[in-house]
Amino acid sequence: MLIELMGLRKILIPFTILGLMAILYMNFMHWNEPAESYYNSMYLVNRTTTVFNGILLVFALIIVFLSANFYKDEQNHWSDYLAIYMFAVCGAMLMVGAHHLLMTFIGIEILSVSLYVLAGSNRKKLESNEAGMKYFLMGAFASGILLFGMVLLYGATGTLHYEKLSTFLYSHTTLNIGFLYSGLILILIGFLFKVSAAPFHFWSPDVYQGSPSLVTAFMATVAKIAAIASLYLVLNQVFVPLHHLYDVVLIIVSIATICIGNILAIIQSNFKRMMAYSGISHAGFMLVGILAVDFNHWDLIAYYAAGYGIANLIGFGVAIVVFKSMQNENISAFNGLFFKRPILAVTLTIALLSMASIPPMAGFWGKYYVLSAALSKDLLLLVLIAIVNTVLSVYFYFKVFVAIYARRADNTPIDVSGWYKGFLILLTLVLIAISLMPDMIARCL
Amino acid sequence: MISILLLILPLLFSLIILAGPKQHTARLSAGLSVVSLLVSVYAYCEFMQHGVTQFNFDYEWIKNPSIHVKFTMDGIALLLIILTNLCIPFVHLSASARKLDHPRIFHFLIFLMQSALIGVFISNDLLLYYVFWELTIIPAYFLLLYWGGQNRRRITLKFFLYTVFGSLLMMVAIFYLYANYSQGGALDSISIYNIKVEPKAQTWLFIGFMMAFGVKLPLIPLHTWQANTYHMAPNQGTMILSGLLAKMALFSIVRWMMPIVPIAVVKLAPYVAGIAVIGVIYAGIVAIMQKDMKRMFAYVSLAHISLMVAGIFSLNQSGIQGAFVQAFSHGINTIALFICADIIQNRTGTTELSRLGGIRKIAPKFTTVFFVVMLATAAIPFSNSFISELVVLYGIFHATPTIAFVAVFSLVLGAVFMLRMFRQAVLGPENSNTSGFRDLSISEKITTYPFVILIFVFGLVYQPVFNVSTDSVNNLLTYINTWSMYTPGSILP
Repeated sequence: MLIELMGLRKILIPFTILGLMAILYMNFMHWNEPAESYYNSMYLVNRTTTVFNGILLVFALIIVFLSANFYKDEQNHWSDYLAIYMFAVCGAMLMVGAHHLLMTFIGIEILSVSLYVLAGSNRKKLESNEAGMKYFLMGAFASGILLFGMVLLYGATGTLHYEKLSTFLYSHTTLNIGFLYSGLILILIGFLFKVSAAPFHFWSPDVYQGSPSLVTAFMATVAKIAAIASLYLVLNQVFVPLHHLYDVVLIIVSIATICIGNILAIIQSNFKRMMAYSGISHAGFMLVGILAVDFNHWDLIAYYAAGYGIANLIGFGVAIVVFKSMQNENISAFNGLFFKRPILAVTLTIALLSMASIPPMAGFWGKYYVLSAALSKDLLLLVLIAIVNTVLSVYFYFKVFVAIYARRADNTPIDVSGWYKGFLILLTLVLIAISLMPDMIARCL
Repeated sequence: MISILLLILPLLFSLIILAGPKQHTARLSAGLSVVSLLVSVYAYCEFMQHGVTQFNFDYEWIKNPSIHVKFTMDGIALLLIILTNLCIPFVHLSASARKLDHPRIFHFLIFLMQSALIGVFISNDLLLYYVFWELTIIPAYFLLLYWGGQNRRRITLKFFLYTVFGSLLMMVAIFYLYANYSQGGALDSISIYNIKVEPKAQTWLFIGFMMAFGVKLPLIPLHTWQANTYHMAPNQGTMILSGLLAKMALFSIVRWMMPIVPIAVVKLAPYVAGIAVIGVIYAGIVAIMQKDMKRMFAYVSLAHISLMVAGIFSLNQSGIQGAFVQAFSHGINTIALFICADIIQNRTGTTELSRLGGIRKIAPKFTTVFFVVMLATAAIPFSNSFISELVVLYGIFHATPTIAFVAVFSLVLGAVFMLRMFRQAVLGPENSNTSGFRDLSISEKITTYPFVILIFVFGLVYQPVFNVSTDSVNNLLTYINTWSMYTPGSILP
């Protein structure tokens, strides 16, 4: 899993891709076998973790493809960046597969520390340094809170292993220890920080805006989905007996997250900042999923995550080349894109239509699953608020369309190579394919 | 198979256009879309001989939620499909006079809209229907956004937010139905007759559905996007919006909403009909005061469609069937009206009534066509909308005589605003704008003369159009009457 390379720059990308593909293969190798655990049963491999890890690996592959173009001018640090990305992916997979809270914590830390470095990796730009610093300070704080919560939990129960914890909680239903409850709340806070849910979202717009665009794409997809999956697995494997405690918290947090994400996205003029807020609102929707979707329907959350991630990656893939040529990261950089680069414009349009959840795109089916699960749990108010917010989200995604199609272009040409366009088209086809088969994960199971 | 063909052909044509030559796109598209028209005429013949069964198509698309790609066609759908396919060639052809930027994409989008519209009419699965319903807006949005006139960004956004807001409320209603009543199966036009939604939920579902349809129709007070949008949109876009997309909502009320929430429909029908009739009078008065031709047509359309809604909510056979016949004629008439407006706009660069006039002397052929279309819109005897309007009014009278009494004034108002518009736009002295007005060119003759013929043909041939929808409407009415009679109880939440 760990790839570190010195020299031999030409084969760097092919090697990384081959490595990731090999891991992807190994990931699915155990598909038909019963669940297995490793490292004193601290790491679990079953179909759930396989699917989530598969999604993360595919996204990592896409990021590596995109990095070939993104780091073209920075040949010197290429291998460093790629190695850090691979560390981060490793951490993300550990988070998903973990079956012991300490392992989860180690995964989170590997992912976070790599991201701190990557966020600040554009050393010559002030914003990048600021993003790295800000992310590091707040992230370290959140890790501390998470770890403190785990300590309290250990004090209350005497174990951190998922299964043992769960049996303990089931057998001590009348247990009323302050340690346990405060531990649970602190752990929740730690996770909610990582998924950038309100009110722990303040870092995300600044960090997304300041970081290099590819790192932003990585944070918005791999890091966010790993955190969501990990939270989902922890809550559903361990804390189900305490769900009356955290349900209300999650309802309030998800409503706040959806509202804040969408309302603040409307007033943004910076594309990356807008995507940060839209990511916050999508995290809110996934929290609704965590709240409402039964554990044997985990594939619905995986589907939402996959659709959201692919659309996001296409969006950033287009944005990266446009920003690079235009020297501008505002929505106005897309002005008249359709008449300069129709293929880029159309792929971006399809991706944003999916994120705006226009049927029959993947974003629509994702929201359908999440919201109908919420409806069957009688959360009508939550659903109505979510729907109103969907209309708001249409408003800001369509601001981009207005820029692409209805504003005059300036004369700056946009450089993009043929294979890059081909790759984006391929991604768009994948997005359309998963839009047309929303039940594909369930069918494979 | 015919239903698949009807759906796929426009998609195929759209690709041909996109890859085709840059010149004469409008003519090429018009020629291609005639093929669709021929297929729908063939479908009509089959329908007359063998009934509806041979249009069925069923394929399981998604297991969770259970969605089938399931197509069927009933009489109402067939009527509206024929209307769509009949009008689309002329919409394409009318674009040939003006020089458009990127004509291929323009016609590509029109074909996409046609395909999505037909999808709405033939799909027989609630979620599939919703997918097509939403798909119709996306080409419309891009059509308006790029080829629109002044203030297009703001107005298009308003249009889009209205429609999306309405659709999303319908989406909640549909999600609710799937979560609570589908039992893991699909909801199609047969199973919605069996789900028996509890009366209290029906009111909410009714509101959810009606918001979506009310925006699309539009009904007052949800109409405020309409006049601006029609005025700003490229004329071809306006033709489709008013002539075809509005019919989609009428169709959906009858096809989907009434069977799902029959009790709420029966209880709330007088209120909706009342709102609609207020809309008729309001739109008529506002139309008289308009200074711009296209804005005026928007209000005329609002008035006519409100009357159709009142007819549908009279819940009897002549009301509903008459409304669909009127929808058919209204589609033809509005599109003809906007084609005339398009010709005027291309010649003079304006549609403001005060800057027009004196066209009659220099362009007699155009004036004749415009005169016929104008009279047909005002529902003069022997024009196509005359009988259907009478039948609708008859239906409304049966349900609630007071509402019918008010609605009758729409006929008077219609004559007033159409004649006033015609006097200002065509008669009177020439001015600098209209002095160089050419008479119809050959392609314009091809575009407009068929409408004159259609207006007279459907003014005389009424019964066949009426009969197409008889079976479907009878089924629906029997169901609504039986169920709402046996289920007493309050629907107020």
